[in-house]
Amino acid sequence: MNLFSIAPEIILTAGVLFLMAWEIATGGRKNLGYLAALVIVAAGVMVITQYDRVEVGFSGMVLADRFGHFFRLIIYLAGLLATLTAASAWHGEARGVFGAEFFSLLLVSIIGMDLLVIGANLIVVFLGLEILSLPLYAMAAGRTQSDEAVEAGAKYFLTGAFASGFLLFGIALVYGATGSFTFEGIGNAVSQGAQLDPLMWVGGVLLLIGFLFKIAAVPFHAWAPDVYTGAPTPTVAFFAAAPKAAAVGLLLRLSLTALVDLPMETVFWAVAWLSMLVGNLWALRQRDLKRLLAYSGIAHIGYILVGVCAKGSAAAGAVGFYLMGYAAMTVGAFAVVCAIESKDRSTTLDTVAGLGRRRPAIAAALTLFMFALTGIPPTVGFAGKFVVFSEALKSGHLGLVIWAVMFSAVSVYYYLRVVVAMWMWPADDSISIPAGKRGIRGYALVLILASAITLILGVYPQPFLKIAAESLFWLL
Amino acid sequence: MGLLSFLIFFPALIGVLLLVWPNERQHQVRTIATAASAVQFIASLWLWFGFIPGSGFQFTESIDWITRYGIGYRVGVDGISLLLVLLTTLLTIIAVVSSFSAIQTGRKGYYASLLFLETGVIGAFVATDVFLFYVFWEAMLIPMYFLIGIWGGDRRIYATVKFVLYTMFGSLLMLVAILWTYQYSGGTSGGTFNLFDWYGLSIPATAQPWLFAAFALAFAIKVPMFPFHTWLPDAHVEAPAAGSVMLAGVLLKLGTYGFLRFAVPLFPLGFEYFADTLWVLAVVGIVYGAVMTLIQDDIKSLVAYSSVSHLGFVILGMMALNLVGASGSLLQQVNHGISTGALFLLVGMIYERRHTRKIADYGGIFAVMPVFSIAFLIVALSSIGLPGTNGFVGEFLILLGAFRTRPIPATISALAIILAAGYMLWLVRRVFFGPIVHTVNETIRDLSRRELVTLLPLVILIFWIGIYPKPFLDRIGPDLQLWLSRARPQEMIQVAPKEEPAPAAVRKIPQHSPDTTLVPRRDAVPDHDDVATAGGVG
Repeated sequence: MNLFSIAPEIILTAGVLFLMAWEIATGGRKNLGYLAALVIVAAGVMVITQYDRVEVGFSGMVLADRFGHFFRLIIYLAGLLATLTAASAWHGEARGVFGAEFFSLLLVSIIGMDLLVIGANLIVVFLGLEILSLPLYAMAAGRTQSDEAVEAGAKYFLTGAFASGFLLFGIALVYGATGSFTFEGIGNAVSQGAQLDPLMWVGGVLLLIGFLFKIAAVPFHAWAPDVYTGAPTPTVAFFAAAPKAAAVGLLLRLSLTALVDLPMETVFWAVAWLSMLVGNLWALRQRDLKRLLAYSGIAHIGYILVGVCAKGSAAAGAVGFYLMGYAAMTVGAFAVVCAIESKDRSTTLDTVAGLGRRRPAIAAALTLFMFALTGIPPTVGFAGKFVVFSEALKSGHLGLVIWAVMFSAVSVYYYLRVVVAMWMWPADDSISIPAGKRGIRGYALVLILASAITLILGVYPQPFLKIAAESLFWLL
Repeated sequence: MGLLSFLIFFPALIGVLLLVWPNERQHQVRTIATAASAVQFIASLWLWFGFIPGSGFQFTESIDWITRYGIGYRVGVDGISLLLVLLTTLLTIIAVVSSFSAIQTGRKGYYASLLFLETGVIGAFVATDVFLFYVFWEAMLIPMYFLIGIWGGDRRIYATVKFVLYTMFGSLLMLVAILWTYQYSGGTSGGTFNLFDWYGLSIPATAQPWLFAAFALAFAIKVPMFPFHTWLPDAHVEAPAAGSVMLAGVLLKLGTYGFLRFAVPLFPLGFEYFADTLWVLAVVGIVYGAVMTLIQDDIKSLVAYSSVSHLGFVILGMMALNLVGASGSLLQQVNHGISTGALFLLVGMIYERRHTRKIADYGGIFAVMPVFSIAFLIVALSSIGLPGTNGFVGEFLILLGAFRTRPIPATISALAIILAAGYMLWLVRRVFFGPIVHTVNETIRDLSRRELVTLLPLVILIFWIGIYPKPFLDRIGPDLQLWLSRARPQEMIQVAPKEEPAPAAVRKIPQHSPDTTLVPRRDAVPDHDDVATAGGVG
């Protein structure tokens, strides 16, 4: 038992307890969000201090290596931005929703994600997935007075339960074929002949499917648009980025260690191909911003899986870099939605019409995130696509890369439509932008942070690429 | 920080300053933008005086940027980009000054967009790192997108979205080709995006047609070559006058510049493979553009279609692959920027007065606006290519060069100049001469002093290049010579090591003499001959 291996998670757990006690003790909810953010920062600092160390704990069930450290930091980044969004939303319409229970659930969910990326054993991975998911179901249904939110929570729960079932079944089959739960043991068994075992094949694919559900990759994506629309926006900001980073991290580790001798690229290839197609085409007809971002998330998972396909430590570094940028631009976009939405109507293109004149600063931020999601330089969206596609090309996936850039061109249309609405449509004055001046100012922190990351990683990606590549090189 | 970095980043810096400028002091925005673009123009004159013809890339800067991917911040200017950079700084200051009265709303964003556009365009012209070029190439879409979309005409949103979609579609395929070439440049170790290293690559002949096609598609859309031109009339008609000036004056040049700098010298065999197609498209563009102008009833779309025709000439000169044609092609790019830029400026001025661009709404205005009419006439004649104006020098060199290589397309194109004279003079007659049919036109005021000042430099350049083009040709000649040595594929095959037998695909590439690839083409005339001719015209 090496507690250092889970030191950041211990900090997070302490934070959960502290937050609940704090609310009871003070009765005030005002600073809860910022306290939760501090807890995440503290956990991040803990990770950074032990960055160069490999901590093996709990008889090898937990392996906190650089790969784990790196992905933990991405998860914390996404979690931090989402927490700040929720903290800002406290001022607005959503008042009363985001109390201690919300932030505690969020921190618990982050602990689950951590387990996914530092687990070296399928049992830990399964535990991690459950710890990750259960708080999310509750958070999705968080706005209890809204039927939509309850529906979203239920949908998310049902599909999530399916995913867990797939995963558990996969774990069982893999264990049957290899006699091991550890990544190392499975990897050894596969290289010694188990790759011919149909049990191993079916088990491996089921294992992947469990996580493809979580990241909403086509054809396991159907839940995402409805859940995104119904759930409270800060929750969506959280689960649009953080669980995806964790699950993609796990997929990378699986495909580079346990399943390295199993040609799983075919699965990733097909899923990437479909995700880009469906995500981008369906996004074209969305007018609701949250639905639009849901489909855009599906498309981006497609681009990320292009990098997973490439299979290699350099490609893994590119994927890690992409996820960093993706967290900033997606959570940033949701933060803007959160700032301008109102309880009684959905946030559509009409809501943002003329936003450029009414709220120039917030419109500029959303414009930046839209350009970044499109992949226009000098934003991180471009740098990320550039490195991922470059690595995919290196490993010979020319067709997939061409497919990806074609759909990037398609995506220009729907992302720019938001920009068009903001700057070129006349404002509809009958639509009030609920958050007052003061409310919007609350979002300044999260928006400035997300914009800065989007731009800095886009203009000068070198140090981040270096860290990502060095961390993920550790894996092999 | 070098001069080129200053030229790239100074406008962007001022642009950011304008965006955060306090709203209460909006009236100062015009002054700041004018001062910034004037400083920019004066700084760029150093390039003109400090440039030493024939010593390759100058004012170079090179800083490591993303070393993991062999990307550097590498800039430099040579004869091919020198004139285009100067054209950009000149047209920017003209665009800024010409917008004083036309733009009344959102001035901060408008002038910031113009300055960001300048950053993007200059960056793309001077980048000698392919990644850096691509970044600027894409980034400049954003300011243009806002210029058309916010300050444009009635159908501005349709026009701007079409513009961005067309351009993005082409450039993303180019990105794949860039990534492919990067991987190829690395072999087993890390690759590079340094353009000079790329020039030295011997890219397999089987891959070159594909790579060339991907690059050429992006550039052909930007030029725009027939049949990728359909975004252009929409964008021009809807853009504000200064936006049209920048679009026609410099943005389109990036397409032709891209051919010269990247597509042709990097993939000469691919160029050879598509040579026939490009000849045909260039000629079709010339004739089609000219014919389409005849049926336009809107002055601005008439000028837009004439651009399609003029840029066909630019491609034609490049296709000739000799020094005369290439010099003409490059000079004509500058000429087109001056003449068409001036035309759009003039159309903008008259639109500001009458708020219509329909030809039928005018007639006989020579009597009320003599100065305007004379200016328009001068520019129109330069656009036609009347001897003594810049258009003549450019088109003459192009046709001379093209004639040596392929007489038939050259002949057809020369005949199309007659059409050009037809549509321009017909336009002039319908707008300026005859009786005044609409009584509103009797009271239009003539050009103000500010408007005259914006036109004057362009008119001076029209005559300067028309009468004494030697300083220009001297500066571009040596670098075009080098360009030709890269662009003529058979010379590369000859210097390629013998043990690498000419791959099968090389033989498939259509050659003038199909039995062998090593026979020099008949247009590969000795270059001293070219120099003599080019100098002789001046």
